[in-house]
This record gives sequence, C-alpha cells and structure tokens, in this order.
Amino acid sequence: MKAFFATARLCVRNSGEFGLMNTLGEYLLKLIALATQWMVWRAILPEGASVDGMTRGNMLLYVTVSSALAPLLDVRTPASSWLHDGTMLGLFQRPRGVYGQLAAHTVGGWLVPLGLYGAPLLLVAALLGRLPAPASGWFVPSLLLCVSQGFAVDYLFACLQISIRNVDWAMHVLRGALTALLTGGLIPFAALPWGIGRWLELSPLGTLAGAPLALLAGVGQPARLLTAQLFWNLTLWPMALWAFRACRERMVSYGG
Amino acid sequence: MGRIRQIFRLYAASAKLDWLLLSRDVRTGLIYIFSDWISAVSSVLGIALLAVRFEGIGQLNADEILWMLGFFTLADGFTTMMLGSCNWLWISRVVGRGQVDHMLIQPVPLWMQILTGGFLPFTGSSCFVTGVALTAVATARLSIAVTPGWLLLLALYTLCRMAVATGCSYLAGTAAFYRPAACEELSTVVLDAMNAAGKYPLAALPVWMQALFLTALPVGLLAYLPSLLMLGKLDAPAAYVWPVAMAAALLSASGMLFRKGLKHYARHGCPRYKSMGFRN
Repeated sequence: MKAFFATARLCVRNSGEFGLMNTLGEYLLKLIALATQWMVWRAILPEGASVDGMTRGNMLLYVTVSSALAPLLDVRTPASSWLHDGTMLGLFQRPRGVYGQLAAHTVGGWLVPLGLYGAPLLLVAALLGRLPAPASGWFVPSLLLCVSQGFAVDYLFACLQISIRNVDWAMHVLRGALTALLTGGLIPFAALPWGIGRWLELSPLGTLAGAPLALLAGVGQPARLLTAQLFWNLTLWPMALWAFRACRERMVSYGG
Repeated sequence: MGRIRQIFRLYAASAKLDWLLLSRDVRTGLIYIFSDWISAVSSVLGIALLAVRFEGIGQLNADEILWMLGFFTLADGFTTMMLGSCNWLWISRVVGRGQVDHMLIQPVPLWMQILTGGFLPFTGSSCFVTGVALTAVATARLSIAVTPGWLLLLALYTLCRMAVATGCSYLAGTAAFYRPAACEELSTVVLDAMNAAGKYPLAALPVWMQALFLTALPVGLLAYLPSLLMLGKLDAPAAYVWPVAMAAALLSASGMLFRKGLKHYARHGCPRYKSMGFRN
C-alpha cells in the first residue's frame, strides 16, 4: 500500500499540469453549468411539485452532488490517454501491477477536483441551506460499489480502444456521449419519460452514477439498486480482467 | 478575385485530404463518423426527453425545444465541419504547442489557413447532417412556412453561431501565447462549457442570468436566441441584429488580441518541443 499511496501523492502534485488558470477556469465554468441546471430544474419543478416522488429539493441535491462527485461517479483512469501517448507501456516495466498503478494515479487525480471544487461546493450549498439532507445512508455503500464498477467499465473501454487500434479521440467522444445520458449523471432517470428510467437504472452504465444518486435523493429502492450494482461488479470485473489480458499483446503505442 | 479562387482551392485541398483519410482507412473513418453521430444525438437527447416528459421547458413546447436542439446540432456540426481539422477551432492547442511556427512558414496568410485548413466535409459532417435532419423534422412538426428569406436567416444565424464559438475560443486561446503549457487546453474548456450550457432554453433562468448569457458569456447565442427569432417567439426587431452584432464584436476582439499575441510570439516563441520531438 505504501507504493500505492506514493504514486497517488505524485499524481496529486502532477494534477495541475495545465496550471492554475486552466484549473480555476474549468471549475468556474462547471459552476456556471451547474447554476444553469439548477435554474432549469427550478423552472420545470415548481415548489411543492414532484416527479416520480422526487421533489425539487431532492432534484437540486441530485444535480449538485453529481457535479461535486463527478470523478467518482464516472471513473476515468488514465488508461485510454496513456494507450495513445505511450505511457502505458512504461507501466509494464515497473515492479508493480498495472491495475494498481492505474488505480493509484486515478485516486491521486481525484484529490484536487474534490478538494478545490467538490467539497467546497457541497459545504457552501449545505451552509446556505440550499440542500436537503441525504434521504438514505445506503448512498455510501452504493457509491463504493459505483467506484469499483467504474474501474471495471473504464478498463473495458480501454480494451475496446485497443481492439479498434487506438482511435482514442473517437472513443473519448463516444464514451462521453454514452455516459452523459446512460449513467444518470446528468439527468435523473426518474425524470425520463415512458418509464425508460426503470430499465436504465438496472443497466451496467445506469448503476454507476444513477444508483447512488437515486438513493441519495430517496427515489431508488436500496435492495433493487444495490443488488444490481453487486451483480454488475461480479460480472464486469472478470470480463475486464480477461479482456485486458487478451488485449495486452495487441497494444500499439506511438508516443510523443 | 485571385484571393477568392485561392480560398476555394484551399478548401478543395482540405476536402481531398479528408477524403484520403476516409478512403485509405475506411474502418477508422467510419468509427470517427459513427462516434460523432452518437455524440450529436445523445448530447441533445437528454433535454429532448425532458421536454417530452414536462411538455416543454419555459415558454417553448416540446416541438419547439426539438427545433432549438436541431438548430444547435446543425450549427455546432457546421462549425466543426468548417474548422474541426488541425485544431483550428481549439486554437489554444496550436498556440500552446508551439505550432504557430508551422503556420508562419506557409506561403498563405494566417487568416486564410485558419479559414480553410479545418474543413472536414467527409469525416466531420455527421453532426451537421444529424442537425439538418432534426431541424427538418421539427420544422415539419411545427408547420413552419419555409421561405427563401427564412432559409437565409437560418444560414446567417448558423454563421453567427460559428463566429461566436470561434471568437470565444480565440479570445481564450490567445492566453496560450503568454502561458503556452498552462493555457494549452483553454479553448477546449471554454468550448466544452459553452456547448454544455448552450443547449438549455434560457427562458427558465432569471432575467439577470439571461442577460449575462446573451452578452458576457454568450451561450444564449448558440441556439436559444436564434431559435426564438426563427420561431417568431420574439417580437423585438432589434433582437434580430443582436447575434450578428455580438458575432462581429467577438471576432473583432479576438482578431485584435490574436494579433497582439502573435507579436509576443514573434519575440519569445514557444520552446515546448525537445529535439527528439517530445513536448515538455
């Protein structure tokens, strides 16, 4: 574990590689996007109204926590970009497991966004009395399962990238598009029409952000969602390990 | 006349390069096209579904929201199709990576390279085509009378949207002349944030925020205001000119700052590449 935390610490120090201006600008724009979402939900859901049991307060809690904890709800290891720039091959030359190194870099990379954006955002919103209390303590185990499943999903996307010959930009675009809608991170499943949210919330992507946030907002059934998360963890991890082993001989990297 | 001919020749050269990219590796080209198409559809699908569920947002009903999202996709796709290649739209990458040198040695003026070098008619048009289809469907559902004047206005606002996005990207990207490594991705950050907020109908926002989004942070000019005007939901004649005025102002300001940045670049350069070609 010492090596894991040492790598994570290195990654924290590295995470501002584009500088303070870029980092603060990014967080400012995230805040503006969140404020826009807040206003839209306030207009759609008048005070006292609810959608599938979700009140306006719960909706605002949902979108705020989704923005604050975004790195945990949609886990992105550096695997995809490192496949492209050649860093990935270097991981095999170090006396540590590849998964462990990727995980350490990812966890290290969470600290700056959580410390500079996520935690202050939640703190200020709570102090201003804008957010209701979480509806269920099941949010915490669900979040842990979400993070674990997120790593497996990320490794599977990395394998897909290897199998389509490192077309990393296309994969980045495709993944961004799929996860924005299908994980429930942007729009709660409870707000979707025709009951499609009931199906999406059990899907392998829907159990990522959608499950913990639904439990937080009090619109999810803990047994149903946690079982689904457990099932996908038990299914996707073996698939990810197998696929990564099968793909490693096909890694191509140009570097530079 | 010679300049115009040269511009068309350069467009043809960019189109040929894009065709070669697609025809020499069809599989990869199709992957790009498919991923762009999925991205275009899913980026607007969430708001479209919300509009269906709540029978509209703000003063726009579900079909009008669909039209707005169609226009957003069309104009965004047009911008990417015209400026998407070689990072011309994300200029901070070009500047921050020290690649302005590559532009300066070309026997073509910089503005002409920027205007024509990003043209991607084959691999970069899927978002535009999706937007045209969405807008056509919404136009039919709303029974809008399509006249030549209406189509001209649509084309004008599409160009304005391209100018607004490009102006904001270049305004932010100019910072990369002074801080190349720190600001390399600034244009990306600005454009991503604008695209994320630009799809929402601003009628849901308080008046001060609407004013902010139509002036200092012009995300409302990407789709919302042009859609209100095209759908006849706004009765103020002055509003028709606002997108054009803002687009012109942003382009002028970014052009001025970019030229200033170039002067700084001429003195200091951008030493980011090591001799073996790696970037530090």
